[in-house]
Amino acid sequence: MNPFEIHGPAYLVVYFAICGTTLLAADIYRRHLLREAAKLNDRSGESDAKVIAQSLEPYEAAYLAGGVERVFLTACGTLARHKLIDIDSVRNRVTITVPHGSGVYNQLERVEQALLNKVRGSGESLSSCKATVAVATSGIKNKLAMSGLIVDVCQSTTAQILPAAVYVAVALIFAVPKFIVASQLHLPYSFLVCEMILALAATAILVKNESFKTEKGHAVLKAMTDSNSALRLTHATNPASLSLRDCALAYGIFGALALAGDPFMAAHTGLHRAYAGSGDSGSGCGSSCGSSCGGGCGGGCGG
Amino acid sequence: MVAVVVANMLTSERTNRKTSLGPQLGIGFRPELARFIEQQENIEFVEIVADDFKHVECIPQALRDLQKRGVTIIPHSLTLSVGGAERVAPERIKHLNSLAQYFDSPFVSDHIAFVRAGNIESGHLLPVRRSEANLAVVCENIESVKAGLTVPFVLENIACTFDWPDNEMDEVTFVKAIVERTDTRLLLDVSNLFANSYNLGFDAVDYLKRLPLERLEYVHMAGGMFKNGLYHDSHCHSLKEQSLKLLAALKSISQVPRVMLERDDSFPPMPELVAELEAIANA
Repeated sequence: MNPFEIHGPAYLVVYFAICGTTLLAADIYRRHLLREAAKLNDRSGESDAKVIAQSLEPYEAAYLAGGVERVFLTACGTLARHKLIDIDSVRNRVTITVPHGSGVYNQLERVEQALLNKVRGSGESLSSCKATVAVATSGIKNKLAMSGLIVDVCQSTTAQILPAAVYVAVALIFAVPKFIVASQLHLPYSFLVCEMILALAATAILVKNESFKTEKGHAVLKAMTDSNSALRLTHATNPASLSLRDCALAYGIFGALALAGDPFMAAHTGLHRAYAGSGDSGSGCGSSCGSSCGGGCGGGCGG
Repeated sequence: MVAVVVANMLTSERTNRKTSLGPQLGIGFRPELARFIEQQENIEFVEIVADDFKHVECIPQALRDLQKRGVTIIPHSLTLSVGGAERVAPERIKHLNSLAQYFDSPFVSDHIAFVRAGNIESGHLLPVRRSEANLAVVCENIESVKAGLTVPFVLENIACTFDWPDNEMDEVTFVKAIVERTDTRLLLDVSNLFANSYNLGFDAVDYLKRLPLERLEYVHMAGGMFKNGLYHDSHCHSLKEQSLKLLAALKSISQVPRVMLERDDSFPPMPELVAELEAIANA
């Protein structure tokens, strides 16, 4: 049956069904591309997410959770929490507070050392620091890719663009000819145009979908979240008590949970204020969740 | 038959362990300390404030993880108010019991105190006037709590900075009478005992010697501060030497099955907490 022979409202229904089905198929295709890329990269031979989760370092977890930006914010949050740097979100600057040659430097992770080196002297802008941290994450990126947890930029772009392009092509093929014919014959086409605009807007679902973490990567991140429930509680209520490593792990996996006065959030705010002019929105901050739990009634101290 | 033999062996092993290795070490579970507790392999039990977990859904995964690791969870209530003139609310008993069942706890505990009267919450554990009449009321309340529990009920002495002017008996006589009449076990807060002996002026070691220590189930240790001539059991300052000495005195006259640290606020750096745990383990 030729769908172009269908006219009027019936065609609008058919067009909607075609776009919906194609969108679904494109998303399946996107996942397939990611899975194949992961298979190609994976040289670890380990498939148990819990085992892999235990072997990941804090900044590897941070990269897995949110890429370079999460790594950068984690380093900022951790170093500022331990009073090694100071973040000024208003002036968009990071300054060092630890004296040169301090013993603490040797206890730091490579990413943290890179950040400290960058801000030595009179300080640096957050965006410039982020660029430095991005360079320092190349080893992390490779390790995660070779473990089959993420795909590289090329594979990720392919997984984002190719299915989206197929979808857009289908949406246009089934709308544009009808639109041309309708306009030539002076038939109404405004509903079709609206439907086509909606269909094209739905492309965002494919493009916005994160396409750098593989299914295995998602499973490992979930295993890390599940196995660090105690860390999450303390991170939300008493972050100052956490060691450098625990602090980095907590920011890496969970982002900022205590929003007010958190250096991770200060870095996030400053960075995105700087990006506001350039149109880069990004993301990377964690979430805080409310709950009806806690707080008994009455009773109290003295026990 | 086999199950009974195995159960007996396990019980015997547990008892032997207690006698040969000293008291089990524990700590009050607080979200702020969750990571610290998870990292301490010598922690064998944690006490949770029952009133912080209104529903089972409110129980954090971190507590379930501790339980899976074999750490005993003990629900501790602040709000039963067994020292009050009013009957203990059945829903409070039910809630405490539900937590005990959820965690398979060996017992639950609360204080010899009252926290409300005429629907007014005090927000603090208040001492009961020590008279024969009140003793009868407290014992009745405790019996009603016990009737609603499927695990043993353990009672704790409280800290106070004042005392009723017309008490008919001293504190230790009152506590002893309560636990013996109601056949309950004892949670001795050594820091509370030090606080009361300091603030109200009595001999803490004599108090210890007169307690029915064969009923001792576990011990609380907490920090506090001296202010305006009084000792405040704040739970947010470091452990005091006097409390540790009193714990040592207790250990010298009685077996202590379990001892735990309470810290509710102003959490110190982790090494300081480790040192406090070591201090109470080695006292």
